[in-house]
Amino acid sequence: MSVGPLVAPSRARLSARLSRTRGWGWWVGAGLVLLPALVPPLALTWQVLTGGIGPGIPLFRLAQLLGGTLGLTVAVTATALALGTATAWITTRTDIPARRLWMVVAALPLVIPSYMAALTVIGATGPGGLLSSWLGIEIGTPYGFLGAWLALSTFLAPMAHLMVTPALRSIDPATEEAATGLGARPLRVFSTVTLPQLRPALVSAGLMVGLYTVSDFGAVSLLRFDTFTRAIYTLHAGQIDRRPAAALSVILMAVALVILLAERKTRSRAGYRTSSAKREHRTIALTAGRRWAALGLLGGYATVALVVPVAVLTYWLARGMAAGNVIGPLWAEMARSIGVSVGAALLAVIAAYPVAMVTTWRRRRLSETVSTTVWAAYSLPHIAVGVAVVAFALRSTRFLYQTLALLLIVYVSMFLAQAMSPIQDSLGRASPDLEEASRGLGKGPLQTLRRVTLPITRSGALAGAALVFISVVKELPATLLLRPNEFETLAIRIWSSTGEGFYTRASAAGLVLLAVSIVPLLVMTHRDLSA
Amino acid sequence: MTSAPDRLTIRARGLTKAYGDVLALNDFNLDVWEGSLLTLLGPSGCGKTTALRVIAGFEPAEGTVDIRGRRVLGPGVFVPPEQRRVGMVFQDYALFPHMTVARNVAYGLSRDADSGRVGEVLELVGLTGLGDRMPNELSGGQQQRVALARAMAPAPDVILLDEPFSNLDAKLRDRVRRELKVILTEARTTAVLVTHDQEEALATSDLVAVMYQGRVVQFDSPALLYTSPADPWVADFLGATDVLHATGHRGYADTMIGRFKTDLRGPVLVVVRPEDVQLSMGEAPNAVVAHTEFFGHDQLVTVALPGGTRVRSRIGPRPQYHAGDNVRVRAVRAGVFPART
Amino acid sequence: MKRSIVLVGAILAMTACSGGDAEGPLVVYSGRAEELVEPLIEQFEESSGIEVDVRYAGSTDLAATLLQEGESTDADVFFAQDPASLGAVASLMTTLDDEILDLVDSRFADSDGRWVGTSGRIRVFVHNTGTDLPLPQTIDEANNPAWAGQIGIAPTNGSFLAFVSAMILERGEEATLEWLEELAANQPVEFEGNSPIVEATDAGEIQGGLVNHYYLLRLKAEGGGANTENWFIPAGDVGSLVMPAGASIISSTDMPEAANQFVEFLLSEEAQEFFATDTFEYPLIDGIGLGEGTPDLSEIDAPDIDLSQLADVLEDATRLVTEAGLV
Repeated sequence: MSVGPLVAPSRARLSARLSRTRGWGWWVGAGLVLLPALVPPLALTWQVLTGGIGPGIPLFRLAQLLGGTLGLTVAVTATALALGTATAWITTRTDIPARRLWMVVAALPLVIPSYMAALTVIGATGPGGLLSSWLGIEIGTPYGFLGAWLALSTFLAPMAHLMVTPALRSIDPATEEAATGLGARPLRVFSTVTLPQLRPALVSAGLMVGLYTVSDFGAVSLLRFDTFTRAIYTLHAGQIDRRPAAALSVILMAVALVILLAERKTRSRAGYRTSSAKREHRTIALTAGRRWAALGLLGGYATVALVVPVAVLTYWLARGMAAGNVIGPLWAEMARSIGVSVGAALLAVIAAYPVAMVTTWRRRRLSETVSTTVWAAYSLPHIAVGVAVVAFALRSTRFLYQTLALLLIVYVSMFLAQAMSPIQDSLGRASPDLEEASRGLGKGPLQTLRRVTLPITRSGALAGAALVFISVVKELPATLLLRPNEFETLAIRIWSSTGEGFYTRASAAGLVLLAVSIVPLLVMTHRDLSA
Repeated sequence: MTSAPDRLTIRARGLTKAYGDVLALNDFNLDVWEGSLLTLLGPSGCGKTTALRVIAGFEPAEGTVDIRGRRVLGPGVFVPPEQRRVGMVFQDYALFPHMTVARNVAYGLSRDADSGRVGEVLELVGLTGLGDRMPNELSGGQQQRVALARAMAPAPDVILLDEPFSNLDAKLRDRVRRELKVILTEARTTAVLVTHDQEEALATSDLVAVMYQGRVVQFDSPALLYTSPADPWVADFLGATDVLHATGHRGYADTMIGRFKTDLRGPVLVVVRPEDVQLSMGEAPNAVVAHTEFFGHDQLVTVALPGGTRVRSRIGPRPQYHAGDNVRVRAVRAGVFPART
Repeated sequence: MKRSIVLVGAILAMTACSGGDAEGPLVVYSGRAEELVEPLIEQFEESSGIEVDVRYAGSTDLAATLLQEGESTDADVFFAQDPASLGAVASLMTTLDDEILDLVDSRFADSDGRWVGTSGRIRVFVHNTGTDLPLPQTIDEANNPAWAGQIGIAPTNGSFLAFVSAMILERGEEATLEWLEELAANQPVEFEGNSPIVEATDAGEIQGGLVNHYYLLRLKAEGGGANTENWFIPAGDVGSLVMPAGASIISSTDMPEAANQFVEFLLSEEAQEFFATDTFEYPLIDGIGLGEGTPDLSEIDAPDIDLSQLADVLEDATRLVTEAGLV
């Protein structure tokens, strides 16, 4: 899933002689690919600096938005980290039954977009909700902070889970055994030896979850909690003068970039040796009581994060159909969602090759900058990108405005990092000398590409395409602002129907979206977790 | 054997463990006397590390293990590793990367332990004054000594070392080996060391247990092991050998390179070491020099006997023989074993 | 490899199709909700044979978009929820034919003829019938602290902003800002649109809200709204503002005839009956009966405001709404 920055593999030696003369083509390609990514932040900042912020926003309101955004971020991060670490630890270190199944289950909720999480919260509670009808439990819908916190924590915990799991695996098991041999009981081993070694991964995961929360639009707007993203959209849609929206977008982008840079710094500073020992970790045998507790935690989480959403959607759909509500055909939305996601996935993979090559097999000092730029583009909140691109396209590239082509270009820049990362991994596992070897045997650059580079990276490209597909199919705010006329995707349908109270239509679209996401998701979890 | 009161620190009997279809330990038995340094020697995959881990308690197995008379493993008995008072030094040292040297060493000590103990142990291993360093600031040899200090600090009943020298380069290895022996002897610690390097085993320990496919095939002092191996495999594992086929008949086995006493009858294997094979020019040549390999401190001359069998002779560094020379080959000593059909 | 080429080709083809060409469909920017007007648009497509491409969004959003797009916009017709949005983009609009303008009462059309009203609506205070809270007798009483946290508003909705604009015309900026700040201090619950306010009131999540009159009537026609009623603020202030939804034609349109046909259609008997009986609004041409439950306009004490001037103060209205901290 969209896991976040993975370490670019380092190359021990790369002949400078080779990089200097050949391979400039890859650099040019990388530059072209990165150009659209640089435009939104730069253009918008320029616009705000020269055009001013218009009527401006009162300070107390800014403080309110900042407080809301920060408060939600801190709460969600803490909760998601705790939950994700717990599930990661249970599924990698204990002998809980059906371990592999739980590993997949704990990661699955990532496919559920935040606006669907919001729909779940709304549709489950309240007088007409699922809980009330089936179990007779009546709770008021938790709009505001509570609902947003609940929705985001539940569906971001898998992100922490997926980042902590490999870290747990890479800890030298001998350190934990050494501690045990020195007389420490399991709890002491965990707190004095395991947890400190997990710290870099925890910080990374925390920053990633924080980044997602700061950027989230769908959940906070449907659950009516005022954060920067919600305010940006409201200002953009509800004001004739769009300058305040632009100003807020610039601030939000700056915040996101700061978080991203902090995250990259943390990872590069992690100095803990990874184990060269091939031994697997000793699994901890759980006593019966603890086993039930662990199963309870995992089962409870799976219920809330997977069963309840599907139940809510099905309930509202069934109820609506029984009442004779018109759902409306969803084929068009489905076709658009799938079409545009496939297109974006393909383009993103193609675009990812130059940047992957330039950061792995043809590494120079500039490579780190390229890599950071790609991840910066990934981290920009989509609502801000939308605002920036609308303004830019209207002024400078009019012919692209409101076209599908522009939407695709924006998708590709936003999600390039997800396509690039697995391809980098494949390249990193293979020796860069392969290219030289092929050339030495008389094959030209295109042949080398076709017969060596592409086959080696095939699985990485597939993984990247799957990731981008899922991301684009779920995407909401940028699509809202940039789409051509009459171009409604499943995501937009879900969001607008939920906002208008048409839960039946929203649920129908939601179920279709989940169905569409399943196949690439299975591809993804299969490789993520069998690696 | 070093200590007279023959107290058994470890007594392992009948240890058997399977991983799927593979038998890692197959009726493994071992006695470790107090104060001795014992080496478990064997090729990779023979089960030596598994045996160590079973003794330490990191893996379960069938059979029994008694430490200092206390049963820690047996039918219905399994004492968890944290309660076994066994110190372990891992192959990659496994120092806690986020703690200083001093805190690493102090980890196994109870909170009210003598505060001078850390300093005491660091002095023992020769690392006085390095207590505030972080593990990644130390050299390989220093890290190994910290690992040793950490294992020794709580004064365990026995120290187990899993291939402790394999991560060091050759020069360092020799030095560290000697130092380790000194440290262990000074502290009068009982230790079991696991290695695949036969030179290491022979040079370091009081006793060596050779393992093959999950069991101990010979358990002797280094000298006896080398000169009186239990079978051709052990012989070959401990040093270079060459094998000739012969027949035992009336108290002797005759070969082209000598006649050796044996009580065996029928087909036998005659096993010789290059050190025991002598070459001479001049009278009655019976072999042709095939090639020579120069090692600096000695050389190995390979000669071909009529019929094709090759035998090696270890001689001094001065060049004497060339390929094609006719020489006489003679073995002054050999082991005779039954040939398995 | 081949498959991906075909796929990329398909994507590019889709791209080409999404831009509008000269003989292409009539592009309508509709600030009115899709489920309200889609049937009507389909009727137009059938009867006229002209294909219509609709962009649904908020009226204010579309007005801002039109201003940003300027003369190079693809839009042909702007169909908005309120006169303020229409007026804000008047500079881009062409003057409508007298034939069209004559169809409605002059107070429901732009004084310069740039937009024409298509259906009338009244601002109301919708409330849950089970509530004990005192119903406001004037618009100021809507800020009664007793209603704290119980009122729903849609501060980005065109009708709300038109209402605020009207208040500025009636009372001036200072007094309007005061009223907005009082409202903000009363912790209103904010919604994206008007329908959710009515549904929330019916569900008891809030006790009241400021919306247009017809949302509840539609809900009741669908069988809902059992717990809710419209309350027309009796004081005759902007609390019961009467204003039309309306349409205008963009001067840079490449299909002026089709655009005209569309606007005419909106004022045809067919469409006006639709507005009356399906969306429960007020028809603006003569001779059409009211829908069930729609009170007679003469019974409502509505303020006397020149709707053409609303657009002049729309920017001030949005600024004040932001200043008060409501967005």
